Amino acid sequence: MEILWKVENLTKEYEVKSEFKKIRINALKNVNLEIFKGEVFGLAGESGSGKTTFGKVLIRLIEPDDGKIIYKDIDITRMPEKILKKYRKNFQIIFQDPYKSLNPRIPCGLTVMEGITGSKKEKFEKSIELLNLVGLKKERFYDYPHQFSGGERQRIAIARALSTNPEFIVCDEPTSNLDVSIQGQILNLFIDLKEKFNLTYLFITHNLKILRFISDRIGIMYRGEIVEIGKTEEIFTNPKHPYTEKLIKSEI
Amino acid sequence: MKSILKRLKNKNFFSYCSFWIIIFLYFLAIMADFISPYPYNKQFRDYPLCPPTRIHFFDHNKNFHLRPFVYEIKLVNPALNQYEIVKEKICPIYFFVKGEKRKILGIFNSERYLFGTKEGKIFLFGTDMHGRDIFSRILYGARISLSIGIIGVSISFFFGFLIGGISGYFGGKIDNILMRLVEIFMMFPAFYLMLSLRAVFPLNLSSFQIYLLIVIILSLIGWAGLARIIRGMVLSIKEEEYVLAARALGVSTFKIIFKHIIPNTFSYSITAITLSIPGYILGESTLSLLGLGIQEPYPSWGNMLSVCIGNLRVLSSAPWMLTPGFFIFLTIICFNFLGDGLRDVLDPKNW
Amino acid sequence: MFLTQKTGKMEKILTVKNIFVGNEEIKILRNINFEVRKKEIVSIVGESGCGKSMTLRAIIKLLPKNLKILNGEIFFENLKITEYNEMEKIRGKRIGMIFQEPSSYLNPLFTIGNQIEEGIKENIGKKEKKEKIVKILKEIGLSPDVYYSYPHQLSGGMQQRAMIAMALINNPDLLLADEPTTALDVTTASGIIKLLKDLVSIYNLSIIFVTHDISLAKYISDKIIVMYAGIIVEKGNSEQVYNNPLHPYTQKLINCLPEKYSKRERIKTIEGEVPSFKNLPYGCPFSTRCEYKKRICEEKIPGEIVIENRIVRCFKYGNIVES
Repeated sequence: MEILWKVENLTKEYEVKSEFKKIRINALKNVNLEIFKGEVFGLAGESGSGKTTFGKVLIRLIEPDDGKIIYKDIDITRMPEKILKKYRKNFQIIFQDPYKSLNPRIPCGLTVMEGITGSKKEKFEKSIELLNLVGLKKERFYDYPHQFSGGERQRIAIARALSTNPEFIVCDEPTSNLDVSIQGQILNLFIDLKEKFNLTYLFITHNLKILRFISDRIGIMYRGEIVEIGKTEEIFTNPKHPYTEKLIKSEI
Repeated sequence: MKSILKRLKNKNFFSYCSFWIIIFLYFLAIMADFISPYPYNKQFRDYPLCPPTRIHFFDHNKNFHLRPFVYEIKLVNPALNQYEIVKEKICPIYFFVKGEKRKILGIFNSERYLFGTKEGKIFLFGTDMHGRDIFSRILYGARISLSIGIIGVSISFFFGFLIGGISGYFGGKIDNILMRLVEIFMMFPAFYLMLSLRAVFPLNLSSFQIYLLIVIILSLIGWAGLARIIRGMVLSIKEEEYVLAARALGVSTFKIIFKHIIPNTFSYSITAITLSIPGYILGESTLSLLGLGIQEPYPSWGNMLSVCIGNLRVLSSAPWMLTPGFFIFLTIICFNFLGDGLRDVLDPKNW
Repeated sequence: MFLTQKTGKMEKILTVKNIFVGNEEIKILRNINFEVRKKEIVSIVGESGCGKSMTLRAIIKLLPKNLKILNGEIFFENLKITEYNEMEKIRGKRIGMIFQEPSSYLNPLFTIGNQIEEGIKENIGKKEKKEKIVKILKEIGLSPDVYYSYPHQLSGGMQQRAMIAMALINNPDLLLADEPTTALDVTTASGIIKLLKDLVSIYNLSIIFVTHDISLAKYISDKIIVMYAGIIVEKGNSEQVYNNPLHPYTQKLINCLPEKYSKRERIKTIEGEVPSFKNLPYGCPFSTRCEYKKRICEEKIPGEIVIENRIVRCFKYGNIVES
């Protein structure tokens, strides 16, 4: 299996001022993992575990403090932004809050168009194509985000992520803010798109039921560290780390 | 633009009216040459401190005249500035009346003005102690007061966005240095800074030079506050998810700042700007009031009020001298209402 | 002394009868009918916009200004709340309420002890009040030091416990819980759920638990009420409703749960979206998304049909129309 991402000893610290003292919080501490091409790698953990930070640091939207990020044998850890930009189209991200992840002043069609290159006509046509792909009608091209429901906005965000023809997408809690029935629709969409475009996902969520359903392998994070990695069923039927066990037992 | 106005009309009618009042005032300022019946420096020595002329449709014989008219006035008591109406002399008001030769907007020669009388005088807001028509002087004064507001704010706006944007987006050392610079500017009390800057330059410069000087002084004082506000907004907008998504798409830094970040400061910054224009107008008025701004004979609303200071006799016997104050008040209130209304209208959730 | 078996709880605490909430332009809640008994946990389940939070607000009479109870009656113990005008005597004393985001509902400027003390309605001395507060903090699972803590010094779970303490300080008979665990981590949430269940026996409490998670509803409650677009579509015993749902919406809702499927199998979702209250379909509100739709579904709203201790509102089971 081709290794798409290899992360070595990834560390990210934040300094927080608390009651006149400066405290260092480890958002990520020596994280080691690999993601294979074509798989859905689930990342589980509670708030403060660092899973969201990991997703953003992986694709260098946040700079790491230490460690290595290797994308297909290329070390991109400290690559200057100018060169990194050429690779960025290969890895995209979808965020949790559909109400915040779209620029409220830009019509949705133009948001989707932003990452597409080519002539004006080509850009326009491709955007329409992407909107149709995620189930939105082309008549809504010029509508603003607030005119859409949460589920529809998430679809726009997905269309935007697909606009650069990526092979990898970080999905940061993409269904956590959605109703159950809409969640089902979006999960179906993720599965369809994965098959159609042979995508690899890093699927971050605290919802273990979704992870069991969608991931091939799962990593469990606690306070910035990976405590366990394994195949999905293994994790659920035979958890090795006490925290994993606690997490699985708490699910209702 | 049209849709913004429409929304303003629906949401906040005061705001909508204020917008048109402001437009009207600027129109008056631009067309001052044509609308004012007399030149701003024309002294009518026979009519010092003349009260505002009343316009009549019915004469003392209760006859109706289709064309409105004024009575001729005569000065009867120079010491007490008392006037008497000469009831026999009826002076009709004409439109597009012929008068003295003047230049409109500095380009066209013209002899015709919007309204006036062929005989007798029409002083809509009375005259000052030199016999100059206050109405005409207010229109010319509007040019100074209103333009300084807009130009001063534009310059501050430009620097505020530039410095604030760079500071907020790049952070680190650049942010530190720029913010210290901003704080140096904000350290000085605005009023005293204004006076000091003015004092550095000789008192008797040409009118145009003084005008430029005032604009520059006001902009220098105003940009710092704006820069700080913009920087704060940029800092927070920078972390918004749609900005991160744009970075992930590989959008250039320039585009991110100008397409995503700055437009999202508009709902606050445009309002802040509209609300700060009155400050600039007052700044100029204050300078002129103290004799440090626009000099005689050229009128500004500020220097027209300066004669009222320390001269209480004027206030009791000739209250129409305070009309410039009313115009300052009106302008400021309208900008405030406009800014208020814009705040609601610029929120994209209301589109 | 207290009957903890299910058969013992016969006394009704709350009766909601034919409640309609709205104004001239829109109707939010339509014909809401249910009962809560002593020491019973009843869950109201539904997606966003179904009216479940609005139901709680109607009971405690804290509806938004532009909405009111148009019709119907609510009886709390023997009191007719709908006609009662002194709700301040009831709120916090006999009916308590907790919310989703504890950090929004706790004043950051005051200590927890101070805030709980504010809610004590008994006329007792300061020392006794403090004793009472410390006692309840211990029962809720917080250390007595929390008395002197400020909200920001506590974790999310602890804040929620503090809010529960505030709601229960006067020993109310009924607790209204509006999605109290939705914003919490899984491990923390399970602690709160267990706490709530314990409190039912310790305090002789009844709870109305609002949630969007039907699995959680099944776990915690005795009865489930399923709401959709302002009406109750199904209600009954939790196990039965979950394992054998009758209403098409309930069936489909349960079918949306990913745990019912094998890896990456297509989830059978419900097409379309929940209608907004301004644009409710004529007749049964679910008719626009229902595969069993008949002609009558588009014309009339189904009335309550009783099937084996359960109540369903669906023309699939009979042609009873809402009166």
